[in-house]
Amino acid sequence: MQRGVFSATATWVRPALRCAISLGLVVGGCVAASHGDQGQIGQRGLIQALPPVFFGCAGLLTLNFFVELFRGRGPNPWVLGTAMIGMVVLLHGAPGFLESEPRFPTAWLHAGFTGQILDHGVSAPKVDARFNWPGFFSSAAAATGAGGLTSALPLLRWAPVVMVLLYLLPLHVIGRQLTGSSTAAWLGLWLFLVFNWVGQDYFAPQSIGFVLYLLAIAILVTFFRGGPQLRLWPRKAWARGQQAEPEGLPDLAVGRRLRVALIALLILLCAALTMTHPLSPIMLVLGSAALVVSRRCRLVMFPAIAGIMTLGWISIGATPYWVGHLDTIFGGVGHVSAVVNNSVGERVTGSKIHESLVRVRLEYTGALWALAGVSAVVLWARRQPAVTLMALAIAPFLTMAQNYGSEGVLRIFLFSAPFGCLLIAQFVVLGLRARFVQVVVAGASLALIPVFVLTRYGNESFEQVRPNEVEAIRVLYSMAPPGSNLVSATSQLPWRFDFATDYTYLRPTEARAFRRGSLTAVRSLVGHPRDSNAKTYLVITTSQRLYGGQSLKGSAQWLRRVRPLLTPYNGYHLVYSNPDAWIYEFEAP
Amino acid sequence: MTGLNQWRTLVGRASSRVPANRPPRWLHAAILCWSGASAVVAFLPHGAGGVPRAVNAIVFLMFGPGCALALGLRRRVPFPVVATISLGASLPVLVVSSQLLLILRIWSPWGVTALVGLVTVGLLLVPVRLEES
Repeated sequence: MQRGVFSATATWVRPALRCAISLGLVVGGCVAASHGDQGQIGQRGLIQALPPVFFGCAGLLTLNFFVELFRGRGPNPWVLGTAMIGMVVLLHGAPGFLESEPRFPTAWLHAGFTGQILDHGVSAPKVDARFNWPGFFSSAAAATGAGGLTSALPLLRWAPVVMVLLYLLPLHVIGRQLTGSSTAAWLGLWLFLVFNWVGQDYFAPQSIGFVLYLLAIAILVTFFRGGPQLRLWPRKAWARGQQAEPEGLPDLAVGRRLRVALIALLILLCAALTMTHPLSPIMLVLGSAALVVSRRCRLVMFPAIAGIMTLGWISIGATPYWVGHLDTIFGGVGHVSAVVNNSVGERVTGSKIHESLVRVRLEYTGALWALAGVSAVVLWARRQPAVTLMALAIAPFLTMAQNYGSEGVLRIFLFSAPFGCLLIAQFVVLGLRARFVQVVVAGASLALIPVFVLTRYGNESFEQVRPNEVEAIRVLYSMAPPGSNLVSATSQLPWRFDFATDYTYLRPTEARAFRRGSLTAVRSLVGHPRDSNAKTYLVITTSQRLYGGQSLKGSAQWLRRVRPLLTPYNGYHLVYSNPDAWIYEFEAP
Repeated sequence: MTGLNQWRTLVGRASSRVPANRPPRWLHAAILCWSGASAVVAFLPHGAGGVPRAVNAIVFLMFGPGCALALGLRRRVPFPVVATISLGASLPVLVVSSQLLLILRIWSPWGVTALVGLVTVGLLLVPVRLEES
């Protein structure tokens, strides 16, 4: 009896100890990050400001994870899960611990859109195209209002941590199901964590869109891969399709009623997706169609249903967007080179350090895709073709047929990377029993941590939000009458977090010429505004200065050229300044 | 040690009264109370309740219906799959409820909370007998 108690104790003491070590390392890393100096963030981003202790804790946490993963007698999911959650908190929570304001101006803008629905109970599709897909904003507004908050700003800081944790749950189920190996699933998740540098997990519709996409794919691959095809109507015997033998684990066996309920759930997920984000439902259509074509999905009508729902929402729910913008939607169809140039070519510019950072990002992205490709080929050669993972990893590339703006390739990477990581993991697991392979995998994972911090937070010098900048915008709102024209020289400004629809938010009419210091562009800041009686204010901040200098072509030292021109003679009167922000009232001379 | 054994026996007896596939009643009751309390708290004015109210609202709206669904599914499929299905039900319920009220132009935070609460209660009270006998 006593021996039994001791052995039972021993079975939970070791995992509990390992979990406690992970928790201790996370706390240590978070404390270290909070002692970092925000002022040290330079052209290489957050990596310059995070103290060495932070990286030490992240490294030890990685080792703790891999020691457990490589255990011969089966890893303990609680230990792996604790280390994984800890790593998410460390890597995605680091800016939240270090910086005094939530990062990323676009997230502040989305907080403003949320506030619009919270305050007025309606969206404003004519003010901004993003209001045509208000699912995320209205849901966030509901959570904000029900939680007694007056603004969504408090949600911004920890949104990336929550979003990444939400990604990992369906991704684990997908990995377990498609690789058939718990080790490969955990390794794939870890790889995705350190490879996912694109930063699409902030307070934004695409982050929740990605969660919904992964949830739908998880349900499809867990319940609907094998067996006869399920159609809406019976088909003649000679045309009846049979699914290929699926790789990984077989489908979970469930009864007819639960299967019908799951199909209803898939349609509900699709409905939510169509209302939330323009691109994510298209990814679901492509992903599910790829599964059907590769005979890995019994629901052969699901891609069509998802497509009809997507088109239905665009036709009815997003009318203000497409009326008058058909050229924007269909004009880029087939121009693949334009897509690549928009997303890649135009980004390799700016200062030398910034250019080298962009190249590292491109190489990092290319390395993932190359490794995934090699893994797929090797698995195929060993007669273990990972067809489902390959189909899901390739499907997002089909969106290159449509020009989705400068972030098109980022989105392709986001939707393809999880499955690429699982492919690599499945390949690595083949040789994982060898000690040498284990050492290489753990070493590579350790080396990837600083690479992740560099690529993910390399733009932090202008993507961080400085308290003085927020203070300046609050002053601007207090002095500018509603309806005024508010002008920002570049996009990097944390505004519209309040009064998102009460002012006209603009850029200089000739933004490039303005930054080059063209006197004509400076003197006619906004051309001929719609309301000629409205006041006009120009805001310039440190983040804008750094963004223009580091990231925009031909804009190094732009503020040095422009500042001397912002004089009363040219129509500019300085009405407010602090060390990081200047506000000018402008009246055309 | 004797006390612990007695406690274990009591718990064992209490558990044995519940059929294998049916979740304990106290969990049902707890989720029902949580739904009701969340809907009521959503009526309170801004600022009342502080951080606990904010955290509860976010957790309830994001995971409330999922918790109800998870109770029904927990013995039918493995835990990670239950969690995935539950999350896959919770988030769309929030988005679609919120969107529905927005389209009808009757959107309000407590309206959305009440709707999500109703779905949660529905998933609890409507017998979840999806599995064929």
